Amino acid sequence: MIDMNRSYSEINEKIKTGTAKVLTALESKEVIKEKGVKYLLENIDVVVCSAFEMHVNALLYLSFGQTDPLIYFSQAYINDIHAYPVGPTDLVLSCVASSIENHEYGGSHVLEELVKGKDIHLKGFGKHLEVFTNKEFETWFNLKQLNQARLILNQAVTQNNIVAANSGDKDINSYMGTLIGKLENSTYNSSSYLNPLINDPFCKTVGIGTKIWIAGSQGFITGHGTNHNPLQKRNKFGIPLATGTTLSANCDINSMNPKWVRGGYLKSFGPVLYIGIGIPVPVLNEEIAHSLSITDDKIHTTIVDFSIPRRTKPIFGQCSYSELRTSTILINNKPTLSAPLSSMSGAIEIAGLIRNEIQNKTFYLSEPIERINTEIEMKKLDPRLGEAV
Amino acid sequence: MPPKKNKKQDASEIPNTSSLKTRRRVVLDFPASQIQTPITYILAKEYDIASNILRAEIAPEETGKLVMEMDGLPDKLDLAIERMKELGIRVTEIARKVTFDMDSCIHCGACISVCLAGALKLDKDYHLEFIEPKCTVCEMCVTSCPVDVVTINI
Ligand code: SF4
Ligand code: SF4
Repeated sequence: MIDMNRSYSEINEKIKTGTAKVLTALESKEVIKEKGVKYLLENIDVVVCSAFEMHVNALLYLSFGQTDPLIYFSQAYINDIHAYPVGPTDLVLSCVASSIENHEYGGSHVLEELVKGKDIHLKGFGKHLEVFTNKEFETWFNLKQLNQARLILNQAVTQNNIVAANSGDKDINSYMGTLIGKLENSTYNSSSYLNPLINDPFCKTVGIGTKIWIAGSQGFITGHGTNHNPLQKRNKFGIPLATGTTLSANCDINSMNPKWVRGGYLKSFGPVLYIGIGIPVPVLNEEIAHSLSITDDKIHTTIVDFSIPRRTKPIFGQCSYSELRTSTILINNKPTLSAPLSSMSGAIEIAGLIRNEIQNKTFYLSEPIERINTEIEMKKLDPRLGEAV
Repeated sequence: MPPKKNKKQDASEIPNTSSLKTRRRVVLDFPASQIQTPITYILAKEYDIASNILRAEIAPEETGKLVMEMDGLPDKLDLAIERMKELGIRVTEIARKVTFDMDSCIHCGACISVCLAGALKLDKDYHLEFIEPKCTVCEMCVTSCPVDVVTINI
């Protein structure tokens, strides 16, 4: 054990004086390969991890000013997408909800346009109340005219993901893209060795209150997220063999950079959101330096057969991200095309931006106020008829 | 918009794509004598080609014009076009190509997953690379792109 420890406040002090040594995850792997983990531990303060992946489980919280006369929204449409009232003039818009005019246009596209400063259409109906008498209201608004605009990402960071393939005869359009029948192709969706939760697999530095970069805005981790499954079986390097830990986060939309917010649409699935995220991992001690040395050959995942639309699907076994990134994997001895769904070039660029922000003293680290619960079991939803008990 | 990195490929690198279905768009000019020929039936029955008629015109003097898409294996498509010519139908192929708007591309890779011809890949910096000579214009990538940056040009 090398006696070398850093605290968050020491690192922030170094950021303040412009002496912090910061690397992107990609750079850190090269440094470790050349000079070893010990060098990283002794010389580097922060390693920036990032991802530019596809998201669902995302929500816009929009707080409007009051109308005259007063309105209590009972029903509202934002660019023809149904938004849900939460109080008189607060609306939430799901990023995966579709426009009633065009099912390929969704809440994620509204977010992209809001961030670009574009005009957005609002039409709403009011409740018939004594104090709130406005029954119908229509306007155009942009981001600057809102009292508050927040993005809630309930699965902001995902630790690993499966590989999808299809042994059936017919092609399947899924949230993992178009899966061509007879195992012609396979898709995977993870920034693997660049991802924050792959570099900190047991959440030793990332916790509730950790600062997270979301498309250029500084938000915070609020807890574990959707599909959180920390008890997922792990390989000997501590990496879960399918989705493990997930994190939820929220942030202000106002300071986002439109380059890293993109509305998308997947055939036979619906609107999705591509959003860039990044978390700087402090090199606090030897254990963390070791976990930062993870590379694609040590990250394994499970190949799942999507031809059966059930909760438990047949699996074809495991493979590593090194294999996946060669573009061909063997499934049942058949060479199968393997392609990603998340942008590695985007993730690399994002990590560089955050490194620059830290070096320019505009991004500081925050110490978690609480650890992420890594003991909870993932629950299932089963039908039950009859009376409540 | 030209793709970002479209390196020249020599012919030896082009894989054999004869086993992959492809799509051709054609204009058929029928002489009056052939106007009754059940062409789509012949294509389906004898050449395993699915046709999709985009436009049909019958002129007053009873010649006809059809614009249609034919989906099938490359060699079957060649044979079918030969056969139509023998019947006296004038066949004009409409050249098509796919275009990637590389300024809006997020380099996610979704299009690569459906390109069985091997015309799409990531370069060493994980940027999308379009190797156009390998492209069979099957159009799979057009609908697979989540951010809608692939278009088909005629
Ligand atoms: S699917 Fe679209 S955005 Fe993704 S790499 Fe292909 S062209 Fe670019
Ligand atoms: S049209 Fe698209 S998917 Fe089809 S071969 Fe060309 S690049 Fe590949």
